[in-house]
Amino acid sequence: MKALKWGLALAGIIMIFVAAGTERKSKLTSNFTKGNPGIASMDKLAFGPEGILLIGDTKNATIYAINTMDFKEKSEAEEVNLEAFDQKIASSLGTTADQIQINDMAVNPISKSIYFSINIIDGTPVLLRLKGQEFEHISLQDVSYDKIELENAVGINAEDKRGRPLRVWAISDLKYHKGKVLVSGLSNKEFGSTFRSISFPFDDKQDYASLEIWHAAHGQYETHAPIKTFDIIELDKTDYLMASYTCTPLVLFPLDELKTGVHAKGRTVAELGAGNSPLDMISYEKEGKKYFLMSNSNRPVMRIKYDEIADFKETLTEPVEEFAATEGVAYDNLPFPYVLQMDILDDKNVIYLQRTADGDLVLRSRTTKWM
Amino acid sequence: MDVIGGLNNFKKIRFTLVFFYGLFLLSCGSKDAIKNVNLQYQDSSVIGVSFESSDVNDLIFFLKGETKTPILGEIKSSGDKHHFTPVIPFRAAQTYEIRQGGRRLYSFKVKDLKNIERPELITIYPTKDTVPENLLKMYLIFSTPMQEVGNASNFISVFNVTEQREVELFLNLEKDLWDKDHTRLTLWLDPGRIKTGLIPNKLMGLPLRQGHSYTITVSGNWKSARGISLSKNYIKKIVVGKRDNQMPDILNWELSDPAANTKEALKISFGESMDAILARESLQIKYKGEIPVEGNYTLGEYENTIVFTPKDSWNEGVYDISSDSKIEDLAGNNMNHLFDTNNEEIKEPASSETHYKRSFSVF
Repeated sequence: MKALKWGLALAGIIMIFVAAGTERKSKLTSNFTKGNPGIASMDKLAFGPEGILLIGDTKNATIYAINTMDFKEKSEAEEVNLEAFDQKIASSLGTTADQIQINDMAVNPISKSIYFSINIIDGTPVLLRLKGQEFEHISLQDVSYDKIELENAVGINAEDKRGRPLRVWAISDLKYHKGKVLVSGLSNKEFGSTFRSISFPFDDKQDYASLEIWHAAHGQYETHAPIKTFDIIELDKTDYLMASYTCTPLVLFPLDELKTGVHAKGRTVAELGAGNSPLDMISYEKEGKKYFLMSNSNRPVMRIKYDEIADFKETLTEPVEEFAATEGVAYDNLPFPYVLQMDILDDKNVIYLQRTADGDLVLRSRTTKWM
Repeated sequence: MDVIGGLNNFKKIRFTLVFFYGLFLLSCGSKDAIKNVNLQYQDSSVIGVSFESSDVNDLIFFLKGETKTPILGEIKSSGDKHHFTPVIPFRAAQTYEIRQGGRRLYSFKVKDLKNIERPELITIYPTKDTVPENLLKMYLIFSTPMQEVGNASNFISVFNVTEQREVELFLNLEKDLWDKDHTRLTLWLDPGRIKTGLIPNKLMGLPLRQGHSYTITVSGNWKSARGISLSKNYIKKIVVGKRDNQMPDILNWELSDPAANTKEALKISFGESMDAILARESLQIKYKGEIPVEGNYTLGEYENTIVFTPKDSWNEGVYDISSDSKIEDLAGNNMNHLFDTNNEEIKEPASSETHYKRSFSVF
């Protein structure tokens, strides 16, 4: 009898664990369907929880969530040092480096696997995963997925029934944060941008934020400047969107204000100079301190200390009168020019794709101790 | 001497025989290992390779010349018959090899492209040669989808003829702004340099200088999505005129006078060149304030006008032209605000109207 009681108790505990496990999994993927999602372009990649890969498709103006089933937890990633990386990808696809383009790179925070979205010259999208020195093709022919079409920006003519092409918003950055998929976009026609916050699992609810930034040098509020890349920063227990614009001011918006109908005013914390376009932004911790890294089209990787942002309480609201190159929070230039992609590899390392001085494209991991 | 020579000849013959025997063995080996190879063509690419082999263990496909990184794909087998499907179709004019244990067993070349039309650059907007100094955008329109790799900046160069130096005119984005078909490219002149007072503007000034002339060269090396280069370099010359500080105003547009019960065209003259893409998409004609009138919109010379040809005859009565407020002139000024909102000449506050209307009567 005693044995039976213990047995029942054990079975009960196992059932609770199993139920908890399936509940956790089914909660995020219960709406997923199986099949070919029909992705037309893979412009941006980002990982959500549970190995769910988010893919930003500019051509279809859609965000896809793919269940990669890549759940196997790994605490430390292997060191990566691959030269002629574009040639290696091209060879694995039976073509030459001039026929491919690496669109984006994302690390699965659970398995530490590195994913790459590739374009072939004719636009065919390919998803690859690095496995040691080789690649694996992630076929999307028959996967478990969900998707959400990006609604057109506020201001589109809803009455338009003439079948004219809708505005295309090129997805400029994509991130997952606490149950939301955050998407920034650039227009390929009028000068403008959008920022969306989409609930995940997708429930057709999309918040459009009207973002207003203060250009210190400009002495004006600006609603049309396009966000190129962004990250999330927590200050005084509040989450902020830290957005970097094509003309490189760094602006903070409280995340909870980014809702449809709310005209969010950003706090410009830095002007990072001219003739430059930000490419990618990541954050990492080192010795208990948090840092941001931003890669740029025409400048080396910039490192900004979290504390500098947190301590910078004011906003750049006074017009900059001098021909100063930068204003606001300080940053360090790291000796990494032409970094095209960056991501957090594990707790101690970042991974980056860099064009070297001799034109080679290298994929390297590097300890944050030296960053 | 002859004997020695004979011996030498014998050695040569023996060596040659051994060489040919080796080749014979190799070719026999190839034939045994890989037989009845069939390339499955679709358009000009090979989407799969069928072959027969008794052993497909460690059988790997490579691009010719590559020995380290094998081609990704899937082999499906049924007995000795196999089918390899590469992730990406084998490309035209490329040679591929099938290897096993480091040994080349078979090689094949995909047919070259034939009778493929060369892509052309059909139009560069704005089509006029004189542009305002605060020109915001240009569009390149191609005859066929263009390559989806690389960056437009690799194929476009701009030369300031007045100063005799090469200049960077367009904003270099990580990912270029194409339409879905990949036939239309949007090029922005750096907005940070156009907006007066921004740091880029203060440091570097406007991208275009009034009174200067420029040549924009589009390289003939630019390829279509099928890998065919443009037939030639394309050159556009522009001369920079004065700043455009006026917002488009629907009330200033001139309208022609189509007659009722005819399909006469309605010509709308903007009084300035407009953004070609937005102009075509921003206008709508409505009858009695709400009934959309079907028809075609055709841009006129230098995008100064647009001609609307109705599908059915005009009725007598009042029509409206409705314009999306996002319609822009060449300087990016729309119906609600100037692009350069910092400009001191603007007195009116920016509006947030989505549409502007203008009525006209047809008799």
